[in-house]
Amino acid sequence: MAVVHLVSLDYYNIDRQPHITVNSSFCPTCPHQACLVTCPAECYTKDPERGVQFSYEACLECGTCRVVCDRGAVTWDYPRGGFGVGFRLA
Amino acid sequence: MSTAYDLVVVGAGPAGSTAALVAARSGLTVALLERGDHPGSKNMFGGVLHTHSLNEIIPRFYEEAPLERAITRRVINLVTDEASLALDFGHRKLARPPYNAFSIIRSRFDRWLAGKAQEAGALLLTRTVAQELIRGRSGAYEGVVLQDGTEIHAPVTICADGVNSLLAKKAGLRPPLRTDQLALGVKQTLALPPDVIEDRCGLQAGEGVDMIYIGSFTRGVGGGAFVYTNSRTLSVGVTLNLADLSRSRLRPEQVLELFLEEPRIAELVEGAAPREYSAHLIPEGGAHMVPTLAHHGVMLAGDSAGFVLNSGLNLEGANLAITSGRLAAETAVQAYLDGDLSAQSLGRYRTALEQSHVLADLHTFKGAHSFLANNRIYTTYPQTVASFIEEVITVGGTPKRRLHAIALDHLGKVGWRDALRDLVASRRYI
Ligand SMILES: Cc1cc2nc3c(=O)[nH]c(=O)nc-3n(C[C@H](O)[C@H](O)[C@H](O)COP(=O)(O)OP(=O)(O)OC[C@H]3O[C@@H](n4cnc5c(N)ncnc54)[C@H](O)[C@@H]3O)c2cc1C
Ligand code: SF4
Ligand code: SF4
Repeated sequence: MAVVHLVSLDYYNIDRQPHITVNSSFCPTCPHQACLVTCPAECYTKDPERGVQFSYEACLECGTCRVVCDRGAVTWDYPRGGFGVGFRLA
Repeated sequence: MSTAYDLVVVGAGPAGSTAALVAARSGLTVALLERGDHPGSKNMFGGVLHTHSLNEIIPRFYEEAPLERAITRRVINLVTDEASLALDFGHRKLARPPYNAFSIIRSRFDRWLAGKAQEAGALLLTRTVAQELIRGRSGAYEGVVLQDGTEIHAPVTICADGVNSLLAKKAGLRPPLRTDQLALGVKQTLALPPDVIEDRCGLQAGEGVDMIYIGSFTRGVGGGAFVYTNSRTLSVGVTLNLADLSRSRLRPEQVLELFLEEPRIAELVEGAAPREYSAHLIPEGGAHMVPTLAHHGVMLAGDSAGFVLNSGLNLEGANLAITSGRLAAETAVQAYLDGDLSAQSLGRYRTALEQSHVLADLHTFKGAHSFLANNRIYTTYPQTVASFIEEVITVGGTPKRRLHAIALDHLGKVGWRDALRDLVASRRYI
């Protein structure tokens, strides 16, 4: 199943303000762009101009991008209390 | 709401709720903070809870806790592109109190355990994100600041905030996480009627099985897969070393898909409805990633301290979280009795952990992490074992060879030097 279908199974309470921001000026020259392949929610996608495009809505709050990005492009925090993903069967 | 407590515990996972329960029982005033809607709503794992740690704190907890199935069988599978081999262990003892392990769903279980802490007198605050530790002028930690700026003061804080532990990280109490010391777990929860689960897995009513898989479907990425039976669902997932995964350019859900396409797994999940998709990191560095555990006014427990034991065949974290939460709380209670909350006094927490299964086991298996980083375990050896067995059991009308001749031949294909080195390493490490 594609990631869009997988995350559509999940329950989210999406905040208006993003909990993660990405300074994509680092991305075009990033040698590994590991966020693109490792983010299990596919929040990072290839962008012809900026290298990488980020959207926070489907985030599973795992912390992977926080660790794989070694260029300081990712500012990572938890969503505000009560917002974000909510697992029921995990 | 009073904002001063004897103890503030950040995170209502197994480590935090246990710490809050034990401290509240001993008469400390405790605030237990949880960022999720309710305890468990942010949490995922495989998984099974091994009973021993919680049974010490809440005797016969299995009579009241929301558990899925008593695990009565354990199956270890080696999988190659074309063959599979299983070691299937079952024991009737596992079906009787005090049991060995239960499958659980965190959203239900964590909520229940936090409820036990509340019953003991702890104040649970949900939808509450601790932003940072407060450090006093003397250098001692004095509680936490919440996301909205509210301060919660306490002479002792237990960081039980999980693998990402931003609190410990921001205060510099823990070095940054490394990709080679982490595994990414992704999982699908799939619904099936209980009798179908029992039928397909060969189980008695209410009983469950814990199945792990090592082999070629990870395409050489360190890690493996699991299937756990819940009452009405199967938890099917993969755990993948993050450094290997980044290099492999495989996506995590693709590896899970490859696993689900394995013929045996496809049969097992046929007709099952996917119900949830989840992901979480696992600290897998073992003893090597355990930081300083106590400071003036702070202790780290559970995943925030890196307490996960991955011996290759067992993945234990929830039970280590529970024991470490208990020991941190007991250390705090004793420190209050002694009237000494210094780093040295709270440092007894480490000694207690060393005397418990937590640091004792992490120490015993301290070489497991580097041993498991060897990708021959995931590719070459399953293939070797499978072809050995294939030759032994295949009846082809050609003259048979003796077992040891077959074994030597197949091991020879691995390369003697590597095989010997790995054998020695396995004795030393596992
Ligand atoms: C795929 C996978 C499979 C696993 N399988 C098993 C298994 O079969 N058996 C086993 O024993 N272990 C298993 N584990 C490991 C186990 O899940 C962990 O070791 C265990 O959950 C650790 O408990 P904890 O209380 O330390 O942390 P967590 O369970 O992560 O709890 C931390 C809590 O803190 C909260 N929190 C975090 N930051 C803040 C903050 N700033 N403010 C407020 N709240 C906060 C979180 O919402 C969460 O509720 C598995 C893990 C994974 C990922
Ligand atoms: S890893 Fe970091 S720098 Fe590299 S592409 Fe991703 S976000 Fe950009
Ligand atoms: S935290 Fe996990 S799910 Fe969220 S954006 Fe980062 S990698 Fe993706």
